[in-house]
Amino acid sequence: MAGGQERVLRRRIRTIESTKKITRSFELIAASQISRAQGRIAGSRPYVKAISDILAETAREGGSSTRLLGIPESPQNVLALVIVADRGLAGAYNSSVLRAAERLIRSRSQEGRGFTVMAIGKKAQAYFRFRHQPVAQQFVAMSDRPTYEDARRVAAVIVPPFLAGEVDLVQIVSTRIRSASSQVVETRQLLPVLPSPKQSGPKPSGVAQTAGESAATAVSAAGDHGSAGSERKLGFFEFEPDVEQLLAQLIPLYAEASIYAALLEASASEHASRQRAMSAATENAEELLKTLKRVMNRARQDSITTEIMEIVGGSEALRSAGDTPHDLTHPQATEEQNR
Amino acid sequence: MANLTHVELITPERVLFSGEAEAVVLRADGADTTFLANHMDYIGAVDVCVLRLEGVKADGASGGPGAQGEPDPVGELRAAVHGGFVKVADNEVTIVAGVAELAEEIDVERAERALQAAEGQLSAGEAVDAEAAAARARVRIEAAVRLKSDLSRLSDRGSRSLSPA
Repeated sequence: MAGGQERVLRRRIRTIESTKKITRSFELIAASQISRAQGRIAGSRPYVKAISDILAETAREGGSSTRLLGIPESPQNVLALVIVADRGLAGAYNSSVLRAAERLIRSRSQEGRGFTVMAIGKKAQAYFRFRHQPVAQQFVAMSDRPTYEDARRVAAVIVPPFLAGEVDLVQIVSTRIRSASSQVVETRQLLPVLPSPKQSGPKPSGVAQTAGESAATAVSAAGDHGSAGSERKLGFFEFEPDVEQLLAQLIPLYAEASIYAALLEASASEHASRQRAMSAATENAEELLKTLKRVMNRARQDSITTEIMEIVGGSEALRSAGDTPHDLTHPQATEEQNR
Repeated sequence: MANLTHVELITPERVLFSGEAEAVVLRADGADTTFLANHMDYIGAVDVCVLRLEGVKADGASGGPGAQGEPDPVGELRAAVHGGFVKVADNEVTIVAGVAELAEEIDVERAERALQAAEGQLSAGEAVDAEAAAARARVRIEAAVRLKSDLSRLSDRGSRSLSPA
């Protein structure tokens, strides 16, 4: 019956409206988080750059300790740090990182190498447990607003096995920001340190772009870097303590800084994807509301038409009944009244 | 005119200080070290220590050395640095620290409580971290308290403002 349908539609519209309110508020929250996260990225940039500079300088001097620097030719034990979010509702953000991690794991295990997975974010926990992939270490409650202390905790677990030689290669699988509207899942080498300034160069400028700055500033930053590099070739440094010791002290700090930068970028990407996903959800809800309202109006119109028909039919029947009261028992009249 | 060197104190969250100073004093690799202008290129590990900048002129005050004529050394700037690295190149001293606090931002009471707690742990023979915690607290207190005594000394002497920023 038409009245029943109308009620059902009204209820659906109400639920969709409240869902829309929720997605809208998530969208707004995410939007405010993005700018905060980008501010934090911008704040951390000088630090990451300074550490990379010092490390590059020291590494140029200390070419002998090859295990700590460069790209390992045949890593036997690989550690992967997977960074995802604690919460969902961020579109494909979590699943694309996890898929990339899974691909990496599969290729490594085909090569028959030792592989350890560490994960940041609750979503990784569920994913890897379901796939029976052992995870050596879990970190949660970091993705929303990562602090340097968080990065330090992660580095404290990752760096010692590397320095002790139990792990030859540490990789980070996470999302990086290309621009405000495009995030890319990347697998990067964290340790050993990529020493040449060319290779450490893209990193700070990459971070510069993440802050949503124009291409011009990124280019100028790269230019600064290049000129500084050529100047620095002339001067040579006094190191205290000696280079080997300094490297051993620098690498944990470098790892912390890199993990911190990765965490910040991942968090900014998470908020950006959440904002996109939630704005799409809000739009969908609006679309659905429009359609449902149209259907409901038609249903309401139908029921009104039917009611009018009934009234008209009834009065018609009464009139004809008044004309010929003996016809009241006539089956045709009764039928018309019932309509 | 005193020779100035550019100094930056950088932490992961932000650049704590950027500006010119006549001398940078810190403890590097177990030895108190002073960097004056035009020091030779140097990279070293910084211990948990008080960083002291003498003859400070912050960036915000001018476009750079010489831009506003004679720099006016207004005093010292202190910060507690909890380990890090220092790089000197092209008359620029860059101090990179995982954790550092400017003296005026240090909560002395909290540091004193932390020191007491750490010393309590030490005397009880607990936790290896306690020694480091105590050292950190001591440096915090040193940086902050010396600033305060300097402030009072200055205010006794006259009306000069100490705040560099």
